[in-house]
Amino acid sequence: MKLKSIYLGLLLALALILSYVETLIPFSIAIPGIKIGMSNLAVVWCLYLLSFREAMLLSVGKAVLSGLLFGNPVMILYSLSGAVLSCLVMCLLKRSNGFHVPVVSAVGGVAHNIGQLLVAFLMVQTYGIVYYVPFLLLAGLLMGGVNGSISALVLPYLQNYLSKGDSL
Amino acid sequence: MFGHGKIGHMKRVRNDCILIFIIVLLAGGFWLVQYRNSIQKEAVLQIYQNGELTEEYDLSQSRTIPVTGDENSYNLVLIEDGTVRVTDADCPDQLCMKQRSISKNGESIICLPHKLVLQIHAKEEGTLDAVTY
Repeated sequence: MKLKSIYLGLLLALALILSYVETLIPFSIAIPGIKIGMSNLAVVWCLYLLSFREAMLLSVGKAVLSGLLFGNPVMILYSLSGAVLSCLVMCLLKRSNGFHVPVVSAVGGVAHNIGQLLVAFLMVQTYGIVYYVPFLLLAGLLMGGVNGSISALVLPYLQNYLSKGDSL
Repeated sequence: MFGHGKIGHMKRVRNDCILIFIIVLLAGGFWLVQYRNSIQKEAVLQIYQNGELTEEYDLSQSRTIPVTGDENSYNLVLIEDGTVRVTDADCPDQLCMKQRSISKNGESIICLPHKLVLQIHAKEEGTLDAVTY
């Protein structure tokens, strides 16, 4: 596909915009690290429309750039580990071809939070962090599931559009 | 591509359910472990009046403690399931009753008009003080 890099750029721009929009939404629970993770929509789309390589590139680019734009260096480390693990897990699930898109995305959300927790654990070096595990697992499942459901609705149209663009 | 793979739809639904179930189970397991650890049997409630420690109570025993001080001030302290709160008071602002219940090391309820401080003190180190992302 010749247009791959163009779509990758578009998806990265979309991911960054969604990251920005998310900072505008006042959404905070007592537990740190819980986000809607709308920018992961772009990663899921990328995984299904393009390929694993592009999705991983997008994940890393998204984490680094959104960290630089809207966060701080420490945040980059957290979101980078989360994004890479999430992308790996989603790719494996997608390859297995045995799961629906919402579930792939939901487990991706869980993996994202686990990745962040691992970094947090390395940094804080306390078992007290286990306290957050159940909430982060469920939050990742829920948010990822919502993102995945949206993706499942949108992807067929994007797929259709892309296959038309290819023939141009 | 979506739902039209080699694997049938029903099989996918089954896989989906199994995976979600495993994650929810994992979350539940972690929560249970964490919950059991969080019950600090060693913790005590310390009552300070006018800045001096006057009484200590074990958190594991449920009870109500009437605390009286200078000028007939009155606060009713309730220990229940390892948490402490103030259920009745005759102070003017009644803020001590509105504060959320305390149970973890270092947490406190303060009644300023009566110069009364209720503080949890655990013998062992508790969980995290703070986590920043």
